[in-house]
Amino acid sequence: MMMSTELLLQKRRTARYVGKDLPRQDSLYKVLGSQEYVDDMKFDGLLYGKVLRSPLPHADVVNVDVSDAAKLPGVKAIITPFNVPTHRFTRHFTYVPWKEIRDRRLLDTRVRFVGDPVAAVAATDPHLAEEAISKIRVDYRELPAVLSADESLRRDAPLIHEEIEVGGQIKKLENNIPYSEVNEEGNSEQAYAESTKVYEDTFSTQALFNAPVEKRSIVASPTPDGGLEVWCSTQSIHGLRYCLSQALKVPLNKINVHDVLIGGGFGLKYNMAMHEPIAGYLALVAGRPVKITMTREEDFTNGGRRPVKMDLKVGVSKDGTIKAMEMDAVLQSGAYDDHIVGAVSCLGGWFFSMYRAKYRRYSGFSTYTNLPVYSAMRGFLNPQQNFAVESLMDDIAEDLGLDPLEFRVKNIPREGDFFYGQGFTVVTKIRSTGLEYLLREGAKRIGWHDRRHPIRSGSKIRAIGFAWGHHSSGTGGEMTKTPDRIESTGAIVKVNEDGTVNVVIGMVDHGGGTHEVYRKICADTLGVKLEDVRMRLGSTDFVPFDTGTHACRGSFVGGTGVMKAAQEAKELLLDEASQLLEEPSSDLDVRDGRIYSKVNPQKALSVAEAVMRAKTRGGGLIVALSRVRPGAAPPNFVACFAEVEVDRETGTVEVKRMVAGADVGTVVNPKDCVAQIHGGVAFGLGMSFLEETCYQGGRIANAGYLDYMVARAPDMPQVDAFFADTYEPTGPFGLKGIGESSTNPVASAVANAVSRAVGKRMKVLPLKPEMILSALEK
Amino acid sequence: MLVHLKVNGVDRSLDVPANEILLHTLRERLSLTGAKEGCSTGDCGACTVIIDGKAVNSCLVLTVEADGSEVLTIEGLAKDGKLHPLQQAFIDEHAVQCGYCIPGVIMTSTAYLMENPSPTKEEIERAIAGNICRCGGYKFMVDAISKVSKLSKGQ
Repeated sequence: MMMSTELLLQKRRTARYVGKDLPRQDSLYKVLGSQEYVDDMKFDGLLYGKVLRSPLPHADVVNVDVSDAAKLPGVKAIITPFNVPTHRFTRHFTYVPWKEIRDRRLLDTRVRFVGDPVAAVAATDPHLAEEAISKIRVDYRELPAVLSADESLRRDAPLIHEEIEVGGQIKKLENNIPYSEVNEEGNSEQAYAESTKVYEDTFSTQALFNAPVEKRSIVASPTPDGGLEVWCSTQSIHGLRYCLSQALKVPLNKINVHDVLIGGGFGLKYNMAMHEPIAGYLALVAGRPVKITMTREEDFTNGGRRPVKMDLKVGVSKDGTIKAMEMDAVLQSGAYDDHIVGAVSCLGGWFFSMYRAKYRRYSGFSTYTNLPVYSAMRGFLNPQQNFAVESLMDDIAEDLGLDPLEFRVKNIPREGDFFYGQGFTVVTKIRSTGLEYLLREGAKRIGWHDRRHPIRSGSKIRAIGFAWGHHSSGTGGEMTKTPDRIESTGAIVKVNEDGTVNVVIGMVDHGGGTHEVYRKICADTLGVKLEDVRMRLGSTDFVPFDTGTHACRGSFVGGTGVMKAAQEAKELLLDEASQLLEEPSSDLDVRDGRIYSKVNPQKALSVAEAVMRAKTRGGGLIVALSRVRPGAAPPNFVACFAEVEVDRETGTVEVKRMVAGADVGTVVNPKDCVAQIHGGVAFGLGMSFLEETCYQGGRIANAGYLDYMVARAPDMPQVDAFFADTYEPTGPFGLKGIGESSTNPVASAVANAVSRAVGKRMKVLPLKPEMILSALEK
Repeated sequence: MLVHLKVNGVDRSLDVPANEILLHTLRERLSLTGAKEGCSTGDCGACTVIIDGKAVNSCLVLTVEADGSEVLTIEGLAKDGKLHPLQQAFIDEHAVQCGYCIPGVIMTSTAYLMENPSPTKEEIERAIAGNICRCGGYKFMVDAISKVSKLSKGQ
């Protein structure tokens, strides 16, 4: 039943907790140091697993001699490519079996990147495990390696995979391109006929690393019936369960992935890492629990943001209307499927959703290389396309003599337009947008209109730049040609006989406050006090399936799951109270834990009383379980403005100030939403200047926090964050996502500011001082 | 080697290998897992503890080097069931997100406020520059630390 907008808004207005800053349930554990992460846990009889990794980017493993390692007392299991199953499996959490790629084995007789697992041991002590690894002798036959997308496209490039499986069928590869996609909409001829000018340019972005402070860690413990209990730093307990099940051939109901919070993920932990099934297999072989915790250096090989090269073509009419938009993109992948299908598809979907041109075309493909794999990373291909598009938009506006702000406002997507978030299979009608407000308000706050042009003072040049970005809220589009997607959740709401409530869900809270959203939604829906609602992540044995925390779906999809379960629990509660109060349940409501009659307010009883009576009389339990497949993936928007100061002598840049406005629908946790904006800015600044994964002969040359620079406290500029007042009708309490849109336009805004300051377009990220100096010289 | 430490007010005598780092002694032998191992190279600050009043990366200290010292970890900060003002301020200011860096940041700032009880925001930013928060919530931490420094001055 759809509620009218007025009723929905009233529901938001009368909410006691949604929209307010209140203490978070998880903070207490975290400030005490008592929040347990995987590596903090203690297990009886624990073995320590260690992986032997390839020193070569591409080689055949001819022989593995483990005889010396096996002699060490305390070594309980050693696995090599020659004593493990050889079937291929997926590492992908949103894996649709009949569409996607399988190219990974537990251990393979061919290694394809520096760091590729060759063998593994489990021993009683971590030092012993390391010693055992050092005693394994491997004979390699080195093969020519492909160390970039460009190299992999050469006619004579060696094949990295001669065959893979696609949709369960063997596919022989003749080149290093496992997946490509072309999408086109509208009439090209007509669009270009209406264009008075056509602009073309090429942009490229660097490899990055997610770098959560918690390194990946897993413990797998065998059960007597051949199953596994698993504790893992993962963004999806059910995704991991599925991938482990495929890799280890253990049925899903015998793998229980436990409820552990993670120390940051940012997309890195949204796949099964290569060492995770290895830990599981070692545990099955040794018959004891096995833990593998990454070193910081190893963790760098688990994922990151992939480099993309993008050729853009945009046709514009005289009055500044965008008529045609085209992108040809080359995405660099690592040595194995690293969300290849999703990455190629999403890049195009994000691109199509930037401006409402009547002709749009996207062509993208991904190449295998002999480099470590990439992963999802906050924004998932969106920041890359955003940098290309928003850079060119600035150039076009300046060339046409238009205010870049007005040029954008004229062409941005509007209510009723389609949004192609998460690729072309996820299409949603835009029902709420505060984007124009964000652009105009942000411009006002940064002072765009007075200071559009750079100001020189001595060796310094100051300039302002801006960009806007979007992201989907989840992946549940409504209008789609191919509906197959892994997008569902379910929550359990259990009302107790003292009036308190337990909520359980399979969605991990990365720390952004997702579980606080659930607590507030539950308390406001059910009519109980927030302090009476306890929120827990479940384990896969005990909670309904959930896809995992990605795609800005946490609050949007999980919140819907909690709201639906709370609504049902409330109905059960009112039915019970109706009998006790002898009032029709339609006349009853609940507030602050009291059930009362709206008609005869003196007739009331506590939630506790109703639950206890339900139990003692009919044995009726006030518990509800929801099953949710969202019917939309509405876009959330962020407009970002940056004021920078470029030093003409050193080529360095200081970001003096940022303004970032977000349209997230209803702001449920105000401070935590601002924190998401700060986090997005920190990631965006990294992408702008600080961060780049560098390779040397295929090896990551800066696999540590000393050489891979992430934003630290003094790097952060002053950030003025604000929100649009919108209501998303498909979202619980009108909310949309935020985690990724907050990152997507940041580097673009900074690059636009720097380009404006130096008077030349910066087309490559990161912006290095030498590039800026050379731009200044020209 | 036999080492004597006072950890969170309790005297401990431990027999540890000469090459064992303090972080591992705390985590593995004393089950004090609040200090985290984010990098093991002293670059992330997640393992910060206070030794004789100074904040240090416990991954860079050999346990034998700490012989005879007083070590304070995040677990020893709350007294008699009452949170340390910094712990309370971190909750109140929403400075806690994924939480992994939090013990390190709180220990760094505890030691810093002992040294400089009324820092400016810029000084606080520099003081916690050795602690990486990949969630990017630095502003909220600075607000929390600043609030405590003001409280202690009775402002």
